[in-house]
Amino acid sequence: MIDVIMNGEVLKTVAKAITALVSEARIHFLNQGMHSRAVDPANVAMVIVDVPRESFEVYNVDEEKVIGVDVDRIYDISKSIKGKDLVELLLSETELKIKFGSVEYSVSLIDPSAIRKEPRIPELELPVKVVMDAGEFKKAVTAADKISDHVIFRSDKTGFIVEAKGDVDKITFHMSESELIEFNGAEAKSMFSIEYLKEFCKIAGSGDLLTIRLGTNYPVRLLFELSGGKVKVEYILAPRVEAE
Amino acid sequence: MLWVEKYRPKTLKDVVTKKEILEKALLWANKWKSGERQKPLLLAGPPGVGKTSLALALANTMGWEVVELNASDQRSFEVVQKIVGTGVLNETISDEGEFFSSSKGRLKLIVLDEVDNIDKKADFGGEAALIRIIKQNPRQPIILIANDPYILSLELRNLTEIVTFSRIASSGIVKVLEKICLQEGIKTNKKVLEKIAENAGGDLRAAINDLQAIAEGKKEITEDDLVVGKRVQETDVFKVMQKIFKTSYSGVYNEAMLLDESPEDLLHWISENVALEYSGKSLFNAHLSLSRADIFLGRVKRRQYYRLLRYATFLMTVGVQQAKFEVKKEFTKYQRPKVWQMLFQSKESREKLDRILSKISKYSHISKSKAKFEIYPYLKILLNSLDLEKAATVAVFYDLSEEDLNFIVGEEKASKIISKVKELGLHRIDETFLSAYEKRKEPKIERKEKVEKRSEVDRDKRKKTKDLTLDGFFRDK
Repeated sequence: MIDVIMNGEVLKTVAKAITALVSEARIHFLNQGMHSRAVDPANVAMVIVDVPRESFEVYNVDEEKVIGVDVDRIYDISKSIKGKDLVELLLSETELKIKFGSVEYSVSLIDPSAIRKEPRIPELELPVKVVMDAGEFKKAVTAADKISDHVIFRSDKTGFIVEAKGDVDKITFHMSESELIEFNGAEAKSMFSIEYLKEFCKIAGSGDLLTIRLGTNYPVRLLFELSGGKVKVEYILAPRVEAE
Repeated sequence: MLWVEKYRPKTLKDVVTKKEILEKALLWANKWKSGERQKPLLLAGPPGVGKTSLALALANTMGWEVVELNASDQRSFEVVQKIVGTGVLNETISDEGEFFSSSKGRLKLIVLDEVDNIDKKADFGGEAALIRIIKQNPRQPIILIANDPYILSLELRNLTEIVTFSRIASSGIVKVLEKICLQEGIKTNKKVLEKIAENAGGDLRAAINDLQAIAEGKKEITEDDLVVGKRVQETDVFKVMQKIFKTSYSGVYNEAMLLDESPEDLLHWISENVALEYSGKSLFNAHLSLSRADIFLGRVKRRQYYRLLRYATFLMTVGVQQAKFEVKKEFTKYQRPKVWQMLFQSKESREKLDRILSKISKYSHISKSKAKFEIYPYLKILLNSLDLEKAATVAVFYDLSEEDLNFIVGEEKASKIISKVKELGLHRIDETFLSAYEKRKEPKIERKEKVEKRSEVDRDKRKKTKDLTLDGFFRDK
């Protein structure tokens, strides 16, 4: 028997974070909280979502369980939930019930074995660590999206830099150590597709904390702490293949 | 578990196919690995000969990640762009959660299975997206798979390197079956396996499925267990035609029913080729049968009575077959029906005619088919022979554009008529035109006398230039 109650905002964030990459996902109800991870169909990015037990209003999980859900549907429904409303998730053998206000929405579950295999969380050696406001990062990505389809993340002693080059224009977003919340000053440089970053940023706003781990021609890890730290969403994005 | 999946080859050397194909694929993959970008491969061939197996085994051998998109996925422009488009630009995170770097030769193989089945409607733009991606010189390897590569556009075919697979020889199939039996612990003799292999007609997947159907759960299989019905072999229209023209085997009717051709298309095929095979009295008889078949097809369509269809098919197959007195000995190369090409070429002019007919139908209040036979021929004569002014009036009545007129009377006359229309300032009067006219008149009602006078003038004017029904036109005469 699984019966959990949470903030509407939490469910919305979780659903939105996962739909950025996949439409069906496995969700684990573990003793320490809710967890989900998936790789996108093009094998370019991975999402890892964690909602610790403490972030729930009520968390009744008698037995740890994995379910498969159509995240697109849940995301669609979650749009009509207000952020401050309480949402209850009730799990039976074949169905997931989502109750909020006077609405009760039930959706059939998908056999988890029918969903793509779950990835292990990769161990990556990423020298750079940057902690910043997610809103600032979002601004940088939105601006870069206007002129190019790829963007370069760079870090050196002077700070963290996001660069995008169009055919006739160029945009640079520079944050020095003093503007960043945390910065270790290591050097690295990688190039990424904006399309993915844009999707990732949708869940975040200013006030959310973002930790970036960067390497050279290596994947980037973007760890968002959302809804006042209640939800942790981590994206791992593979870099672009360097054109010769 | 299905044995076809269980025993799907894991590495390249387990794939049963011609050596040249394996070598070609390996060479292609190695070039990719060394950083040399290659054209995508297009694996073409009948079902069950190892196309998909080769692609998957290749990725496995090279240690690449596979991103597969097949007929069960949607493959519209957006989806192809999103998955293939971004897939080829970026490095890879494997299903296992490992990071693959292309600089270390760890690539992502994008396999598009059944590309010839990208639906023109449901997957609109899928092929176009694919062409666009391939033209941008993708940074990750792509393999396309198709049964019939000639359904794909020429553009796409030219962008790829075609590798053609042929059916697998029975002996090759027997070897695979033997291996499976050994691993499953099933005792058998070679004869049984040979029979299964023969029955499969070069389709290894079919053979393995048949073997599983017979042998699963058994310790030993003998010839008595061979109860599988004859596998319906993929037959094609050429084989059927050969049976019609060269033999008197009456089972040809059943084979024709299995074809992936509509009865109308089959009729085109047969009538296109019958004259290449028959002559004299045989040809005459065959054509009699074919015309009969055509009559039946017409009735099926008109009355929506599909039970008559079997007579049509029977007449065009067995009917034509029995019409011959002797068989032409030499091999005949059959032709594709020219009628399709003709229809394709005449498509534009048919569309033009259709547009004209719908105008006639609208303004003369009759159906299009009536317009075609009762008005259009006269219209053509009238436009050609009347003096320009009258012709212009007629053209305007039917709201014919310059393009329409070009089609009906040719460019020279059309331009004359059009300039006449402009000179006279003719317009078609319909409800919208009149209502605009009335609105303009309304505020003038207070000054009655003046208005009356003016409307008289108006009427005169209108009679001259804007009275455009055909009735008026005939009365004038």
